[in-house]
Amino acid sequence: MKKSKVLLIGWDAADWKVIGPLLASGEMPALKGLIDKGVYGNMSTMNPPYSPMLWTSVATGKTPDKHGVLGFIELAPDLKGIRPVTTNSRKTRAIWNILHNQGYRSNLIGWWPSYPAEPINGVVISEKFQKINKDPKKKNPIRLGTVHPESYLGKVKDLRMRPYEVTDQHILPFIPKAAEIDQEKDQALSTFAKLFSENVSVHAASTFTMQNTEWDFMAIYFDLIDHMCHAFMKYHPPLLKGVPLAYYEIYKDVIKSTCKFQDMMLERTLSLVDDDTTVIIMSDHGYESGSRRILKMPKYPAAPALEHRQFGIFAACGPNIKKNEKIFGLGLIDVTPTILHAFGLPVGKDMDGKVALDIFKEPGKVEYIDSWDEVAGDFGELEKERETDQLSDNETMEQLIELGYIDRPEGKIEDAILKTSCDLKKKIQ
Amino acid sequence: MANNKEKELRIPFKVTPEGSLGLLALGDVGLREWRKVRNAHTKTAKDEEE
Repeated sequence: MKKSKVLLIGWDAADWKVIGPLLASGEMPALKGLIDKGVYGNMSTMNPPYSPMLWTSVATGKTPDKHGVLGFIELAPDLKGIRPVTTNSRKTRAIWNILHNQGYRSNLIGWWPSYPAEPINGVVISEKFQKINKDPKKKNPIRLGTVHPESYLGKVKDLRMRPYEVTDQHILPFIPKAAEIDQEKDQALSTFAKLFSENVSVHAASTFTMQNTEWDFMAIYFDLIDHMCHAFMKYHPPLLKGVPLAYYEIYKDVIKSTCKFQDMMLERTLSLVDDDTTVIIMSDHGYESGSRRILKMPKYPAAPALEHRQFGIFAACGPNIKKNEKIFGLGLIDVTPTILHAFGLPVGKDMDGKVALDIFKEPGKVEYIDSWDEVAGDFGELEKERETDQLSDNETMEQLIELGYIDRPEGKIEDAILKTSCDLKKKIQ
Repeated sequence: MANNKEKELRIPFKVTPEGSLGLLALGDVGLREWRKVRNAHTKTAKDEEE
């Protein structure tokens, strides 16, 4: 089986039900071109569909009880606080650790979670990189551990787009009637600017890194579709009962334009890879876009995940990938075994996923190893947990609260810690 | 030297101070080029005000 480079692109919450009509009308030509010369299918998610948990299953081939990333927040290592989930919660090796051990170079851009950045062969630009405060008066220092190697930071630090750099020319294709919005009452434009600029930053960092580094494996993660869906899917056609017509008219194009812009970025990304690169585009779950949309979200943490749909997307093309075929039965935990196999490496018997042999022209024979976690040597891992950033990561915490994924910690911090501890225990039962 | 396909990217449209989605979709090159044009324009505007 021919070895090739692998580019894995994550589009959180991308759903064929939304994307399908845009492919058919020629409005997502880059993805259409990829599908035409490769395979596509549904990607089955896991429950509960919490993105950091799911993307860690993608990166490890294991279920959450084994990999340890169970939600959006975690207990700080000194057990004196809570914070957005970090690499420290993961208790098994990820695909990039294995590739590091085997002499391959990996680049990781925006993966959730990938902070603190692990010292692998290659570049890690963690999900903290693109976080910028909406307030132009506030400074946005890039903290230690955001980028690996540290010396790389100087090359990309100017590639963060600020929310307050967003102009009419960026907004109007998404919200043509933006001028009608009363920004005193409606914060949607501010939300839009933040989500948009963060994903532009991820894209800019990724295109730069693709052109200026050697790599064998590269993973890029975008939360654009997911976060825009949480903010604007209720306005997506058809008009949902209970949505004021005036709001519908203003915001009805946002989801469609988001997918189109994601595709525009994909076109550029694909222009930077060789023909010997296997490209995989996938989402971790889908998103309700029809009558099952929820207008009034229940008030409990992670309730917004109720709108996540069971099936996300999967599409791949490359020198050893079949053409024009629909693939069935794929799950998130199959991705890492499949990529390991593409590199000619054995799959851990302790991985829960399987190699998606159906996608390959020449499937080859799958080799196995008991567990990559039991192999001694350098895996590009962090030596020790960094000192806590408990509740100091206000920007990320605020965004998770804004999206409704977590409750605002109130009262005593001890209560927040106890609640988080109980929630995490409950999730692994 | 990267081992990936490198292309001398020519921005196929006029870069304006307001920018565009097409420019940002080009990634690092587009973002940097836009800021260059925008900053030059802002400087000119300030100079004219003075």
